[in-house]
Amino acid sequence: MIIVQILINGLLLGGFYAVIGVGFSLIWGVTNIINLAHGAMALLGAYITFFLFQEYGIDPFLSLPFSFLCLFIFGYILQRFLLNLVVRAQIFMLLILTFGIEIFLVNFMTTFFSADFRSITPEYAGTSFVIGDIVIPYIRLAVFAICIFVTFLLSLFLNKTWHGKAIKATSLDLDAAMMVGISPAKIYALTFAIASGIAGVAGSLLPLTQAFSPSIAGSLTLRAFTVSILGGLGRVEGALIGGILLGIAETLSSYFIGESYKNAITLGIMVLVLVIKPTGLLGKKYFAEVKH
Amino acid sequence: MVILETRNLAKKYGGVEVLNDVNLKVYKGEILGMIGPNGAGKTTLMNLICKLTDITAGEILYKGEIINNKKTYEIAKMGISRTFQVVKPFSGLTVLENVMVGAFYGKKQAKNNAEARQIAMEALQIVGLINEKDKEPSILPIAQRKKLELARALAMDPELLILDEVMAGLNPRELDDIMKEIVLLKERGITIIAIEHVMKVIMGISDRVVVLHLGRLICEGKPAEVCNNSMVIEAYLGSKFAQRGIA
Amino acid sequence: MKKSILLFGIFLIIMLCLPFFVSGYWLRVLTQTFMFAAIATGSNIIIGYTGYPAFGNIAFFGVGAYVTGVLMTKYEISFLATLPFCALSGFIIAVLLGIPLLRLKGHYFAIATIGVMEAIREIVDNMTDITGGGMGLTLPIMEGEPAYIYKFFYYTIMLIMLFSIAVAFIIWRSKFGYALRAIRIDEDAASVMGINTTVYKTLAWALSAALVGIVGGAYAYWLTYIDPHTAFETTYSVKMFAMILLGGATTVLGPMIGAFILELISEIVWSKFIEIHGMILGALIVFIVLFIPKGLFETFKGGFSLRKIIINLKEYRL
Repeated sequence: MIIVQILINGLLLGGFYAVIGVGFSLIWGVTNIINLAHGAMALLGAYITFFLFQEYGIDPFLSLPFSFLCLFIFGYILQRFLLNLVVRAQIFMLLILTFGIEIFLVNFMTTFFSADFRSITPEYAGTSFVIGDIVIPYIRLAVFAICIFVTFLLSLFLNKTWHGKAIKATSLDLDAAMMVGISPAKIYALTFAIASGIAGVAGSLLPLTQAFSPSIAGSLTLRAFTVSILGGLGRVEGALIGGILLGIAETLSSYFIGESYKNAITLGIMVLVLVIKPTGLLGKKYFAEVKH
Repeated sequence: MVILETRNLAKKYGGVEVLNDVNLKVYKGEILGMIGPNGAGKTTLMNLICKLTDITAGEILYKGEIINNKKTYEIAKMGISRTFQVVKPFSGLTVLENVMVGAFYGKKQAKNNAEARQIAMEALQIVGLINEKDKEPSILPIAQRKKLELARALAMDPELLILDEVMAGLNPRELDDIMKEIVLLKERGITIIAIEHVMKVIMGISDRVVVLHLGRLICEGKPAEVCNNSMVIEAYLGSKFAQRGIA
Repeated sequence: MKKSILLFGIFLIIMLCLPFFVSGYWLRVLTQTFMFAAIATGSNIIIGYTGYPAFGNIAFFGVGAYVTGVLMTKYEISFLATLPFCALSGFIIAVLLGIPLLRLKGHYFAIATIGVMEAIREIVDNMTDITGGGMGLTLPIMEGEPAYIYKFFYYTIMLIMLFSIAVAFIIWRSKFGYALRAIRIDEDAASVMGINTTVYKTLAWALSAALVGIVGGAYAYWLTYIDPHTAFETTYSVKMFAMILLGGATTVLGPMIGAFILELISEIVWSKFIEIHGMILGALIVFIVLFIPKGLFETFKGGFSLRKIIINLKEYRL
C-alpha cells in the first residue's frame, strides 16, 4: 500500500516539476537558449508570493496571476533587450550569459531577501483528503490541479492562437517564419516572457509545498532541465509526462535509496536519456540544431 | 580495372527511398561525370561512399575491398577524398593551415609540420592558390574557396577524388580554369567522380557519364550518347521533350 | 609571435621575483590566480581547441583534490608523489565518460558534464569512510614557517600553471592540435579528411582532465581542508569559462590572461564591495559575453577601439 502512496506523492510532485520544466523546455525548443537562470526566476515568483502573503495576507493562490504578470514583463525585457543581443552567438556563450544572470539574481535575492529558508503555511494547510491508507493533502492536490491547468492553457495557446502558432513556426524554421513576416525578435521575447511567467507561477506554488531560499535555484533549474530532456524540447505534453516521470522516479528512489542521492539520480537519468535517446522519450527535436 | 563499385546499394530515410538498387562501376584513371535532376540522390550516394551516413542495403567496394563497414576517417586514409557542395573551409585556420590538415591526416599522413607544409604548398601550387596561403578563407571569393577545397582534398594524396558540384557559382572564365585543373589531376593518375549540373563541364571533361534519377541509375555511357537518351531527357525536361528528341 | 614570447618572458621574471617584495596577502591572491589560470588553460584544450564546452570540468579538479587528500591522509604518500595519481585519475575518468558523452554536441555535452560534476560530488559526499563525506578531509599541514609555506605554494602552483601552458602550447602547434581545431570547426569535414574524431576528442578531454586534476591536488594541500562543496565548486566552473571567454578560447595564453584580469578585478571588488560581490561577478560575466565574446586577445589584436565592441554586438543580435 505504501507504494501507492509513494506513487501518488510522485505524481503530485511531478505536476510541479512539469510546470517548472515546461517553460524551460519551451525556451530551449523555440530559441535554442538554455536559460540557466530559470530556477532563479521561479524563485522571484516565490518571493513575490511570500511577501504578498506576509505583508498583506494575500492568499498564495490568488497571487498567481500577479506573479505571472511580473515575471512575464521581466522575461520580456530580459529577452528583448539583453538576450536578443547575443542570440546568434555560439551556444556556450548564451549558456554563460544566462549563468551570469543566474549568479546576479541569486546574489541579489540573498543580499536583499536574506539566505533564510522561507515557507508559507496558510490556515488550510494541514487538511487532507484520505482514502484508506492514503493521504493526499488538499494543498498538494490543488497545486497539482493548477499545474495541469497551466499546462493545458499553454497547449491551447500554442495551438489555437495566432501568436502561439507563430511561436511554433519560428521554432520549426526561423528563416521561413521570417519570410512570412514573423519578427523573430518579438517572438523570442514573447516566448521567453510566457516561459518566465510560467516559471513565476511555479515559483509561487513552491512555498506551499516546501521551504525555499536562493540556494535552491540551481536544483530547480536542474529539474527543469531534466524534465525537458525527458519530454523532448518545446513539447508541452512531453514536459507534463517528463515531469511526472521525474517526480515518481524521485519519490521512489528517495524511499528505496535514501534522500542523499537525489541529485545524482536525477542527473543519472538525464545523462542516460541524453546518451540513449537525445531527442527525449517522446520526441523529435522541436528546434533543429541549425546554425544561423 | 574497377576502382570503386557499388552493388545493389540502397538508402532509405524512414519510408522514403532515396537510393535504390544502385550498381555503379568506376574505372581507374577515368573522369566519371554524374548528373541527374535535383534530389536524385547524387550527394547522398557520395555521403554513403564516405560513410557520412549509413547504407540501408547493398555493398560498396573500393579496390575490391568492402568499405561500407569502415569509418569515415579510415576511408579517407585509404585514398578517397571529396569536396563538399557547400564549401566547408576551416575558418580560423589560414589557407595553408587548412590544406595542412589534409596533408596530416589523408593518405600521406605527414609526420610533422615541415612535411605537412611542403605537401600543402605543393597542392596550393597545383590549384594556383599559392599567393593566398596566409589568408583567412572567409575573405576569399567563392572561386578561390572552391580551389581551397580542391587543394585540401589533393593534399590527402587521393586515388579517388569526389567532386561534388565544384563548378556551382563560378563564372565561365573560372569554370574553364578549374576544368583545366581537373584534367591535370586525371593526368596525375587520380580517378575522379564529378557531380555536376553544368553540361559544358560534363561534356568537356568526362570520359563516361552516369545519370541518377529518383534514386536509380537510369543511364550510362559516353557523354554524347547519354545526352541523347530519351529517358534522360524525360527525367530533366519531361516526356514531351523526350518524344521530340532534343540533342 | 616573437613579441608575445618577449612579453611573456618579462612577465615570468616579474612573477618569479615578486615573493620577495610583496606581502603574504598578495602572494595568496596571485597563487589563486595561477590556480585559475592553470584550470582555464588546461580546460581550454577541450573547450576552446576542440569546441566541446566541458562546463563541468571542475569535476576533475575535485577528483584531483580528493586523490591527493586521501593518499596523503590514509597512505601517507608525499605531496609531490600524489600528483601523478591526480593526473591519472582525471585522465581515466575522462576517457571512460568521454566514450558515451562526447557523442553529444554543444548544449547537451555542456550540461552532461555539469551532471557529471554534480554526480561525482554527491558520490564523494556519500563515501564518508574514505573521503570524510560532508565533514570534509583535513590534510597534513606542511612543516615550516608561514612565509616559507606561502612561497612554496606560490612557486608550486605557478609551476603547474607553466606546465599547463607548455602542454597547451605544444598541442597547439602539433599535428594533434590541427586535428582538434578541425574538429571544432566542422566535425564531418574533419572525419572526411581522415581524422578519427572519436579518439582525438577523447584524448583532448582526457588531457585537460589530467591537467585540471593536478591543479586540484595542489589546491587540496594548499588549503589543507577540502569538502565536497569547496572541491566541486560550481562558481569555479563559471569563472573558468568566463576567463576562457575573456582571454580568448582560440589562443594559448588567452585563458591565462583572462584569469589574471578576472581574478584581480574580483579581488578588488571583493575587498571593497563584499556584500554585492556576487552580483558584480554576475554582471561582469554578462558584460563579457555581450561585448567581448571573442575574447580580449582576438577582439583587440589590432589595437583597442570602441568600434570593435559595437561590431561584435551587431554580429550576434537577432
